[in-house]
Amino acid sequence: MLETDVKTGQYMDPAQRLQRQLELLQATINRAHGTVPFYKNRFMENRAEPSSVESLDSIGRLPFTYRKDLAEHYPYGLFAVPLRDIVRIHTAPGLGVHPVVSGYTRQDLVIWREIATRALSTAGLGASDILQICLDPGLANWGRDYKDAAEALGASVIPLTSLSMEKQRMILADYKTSVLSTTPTFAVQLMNTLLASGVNPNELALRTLVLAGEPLTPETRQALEEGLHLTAWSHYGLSEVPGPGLAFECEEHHGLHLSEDHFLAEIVDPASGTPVPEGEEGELTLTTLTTRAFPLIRFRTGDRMRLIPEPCPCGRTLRRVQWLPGRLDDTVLIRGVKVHQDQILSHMSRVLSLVPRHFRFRPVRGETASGLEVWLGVDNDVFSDEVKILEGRVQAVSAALSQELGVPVSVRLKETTQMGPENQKWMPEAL
Amino acid sequence: MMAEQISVFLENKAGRLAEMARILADASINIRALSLADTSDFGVLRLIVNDPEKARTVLKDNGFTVRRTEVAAVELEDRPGGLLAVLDLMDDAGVNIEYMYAYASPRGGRAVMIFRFDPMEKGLEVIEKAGLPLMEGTDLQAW
Repeated sequence: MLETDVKTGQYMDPAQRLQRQLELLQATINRAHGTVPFYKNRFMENRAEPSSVESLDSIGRLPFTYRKDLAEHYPYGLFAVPLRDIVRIHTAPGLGVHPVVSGYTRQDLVIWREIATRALSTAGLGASDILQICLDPGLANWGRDYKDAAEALGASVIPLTSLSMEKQRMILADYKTSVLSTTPTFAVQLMNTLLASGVNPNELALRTLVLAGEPLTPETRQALEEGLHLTAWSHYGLSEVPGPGLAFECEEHHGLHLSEDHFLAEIVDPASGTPVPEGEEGELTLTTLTTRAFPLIRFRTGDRMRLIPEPCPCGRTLRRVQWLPGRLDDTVLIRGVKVHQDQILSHMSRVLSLVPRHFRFRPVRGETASGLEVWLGVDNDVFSDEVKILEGRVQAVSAALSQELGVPVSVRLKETTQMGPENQKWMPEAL
Repeated sequence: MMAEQISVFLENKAGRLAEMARILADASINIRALSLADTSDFGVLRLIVNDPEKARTVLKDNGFTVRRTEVAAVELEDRPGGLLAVLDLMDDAGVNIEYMYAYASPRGGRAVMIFRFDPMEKGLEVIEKAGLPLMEGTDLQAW
């Protein structure tokens, strides 16, 4: 029943959709309350009764779930089904020491694949295409989803592997990639590398970019489309769970359609948590409607969104959002991967066997390289008069952070007095 | 018997070395010997000075990260093979040299080598057993 739902779901009559959402919401709430102690306790602490949600609007009576809650219940604490019903276990970088572990039933996987399939086929992916997936290890979950979805559409898939920019460029040109799935940051770097090496975009088979992980600004879209002679499609997802295509662009390229047949979306004021007036910007908050194993109730995404109230000319009745740059939580987006200060600190402390007192971070987005730069202040604890020991520390921290965050990380040692204001741990992006 | 060295962490940044030298000069500290170990990003400056305690304090007060390390200051004949003799001894004893640097002694015909051995105690033992003159902190400061 679900596969057809996904296909027809995008054109469902709005009134019918609301009714269906309410039924699915009530079922989800009851299941989460009944099977996941975290939700039961959280509801109880907030004196929220599952039965009090009598309409979609009354979801506001339920408490929020935050990103930090996900990692605190490592590994299986938020699963709503017994492990024997789980057929896949995903790991994504968490905000603290632990990663976020999510589980999927067979039916969950079918739904996720269908959601990704819908998003990719809307972008025109078909059996004659060659899809190259190029995402950092921190977004590996999406890589698997895109692969499954594209294979279901009959495309030839070059799956996610960790390759240098040079190798990716070689594959792109020689294998005649027609669709590239990556982040806007990487796409821009790849374009710069290609153009710098004198490649004529018309000689490439590439005609479609599927860009996830970061909002696609109009400027970046224009640069990519004009520079490489192709069409870019923006996809939105949560890295904690599979789900590129949780919201996706249609041929109108004006906002992303929310997969409202599987999620209930709210746009809330990040400070007060109350819904913003329709059409105003706020934080996207998601509740899963069809997920069995890993339900999320009012999950605060930290993503800045604005609902586009007008119906889309494409005819899909899934409402659209405009995804805006910048974040509403204290994470920073590095090549599509959310990074939190505490997470960096906890890994640094583990590797150095001490809690660093002086540190700064900054996203680096160069012409051809990008990632996270960490400054470690050399105080008495960190210092050694032997260069090889200092270099060993740099190596160990950058290796551990690259591994844990799944994005490139470089570490630089700094004099503690040369690091800028103490209260500003995140420095402006370096270009 | 060990000599005292101070080590300073420096970023590779224009003017940092001069700034440090100015702080020492203003405090009337004389640098006897120094070595700079550097990478593309940073350097570690190792110094033998006439007043290590004062040097450490003024640098610390000016925000530098400073460490005191014990090193061996060995007085050698300033002639071909003088260094080789020490290195051979260490090699035979299985002692590694973490770093070393040298300067000519004002006392005629002698040179002073600063060594950091690994392990330090064993290196010192070898020097003492060979009867080579080790200079103390006070010797170095007095020159």
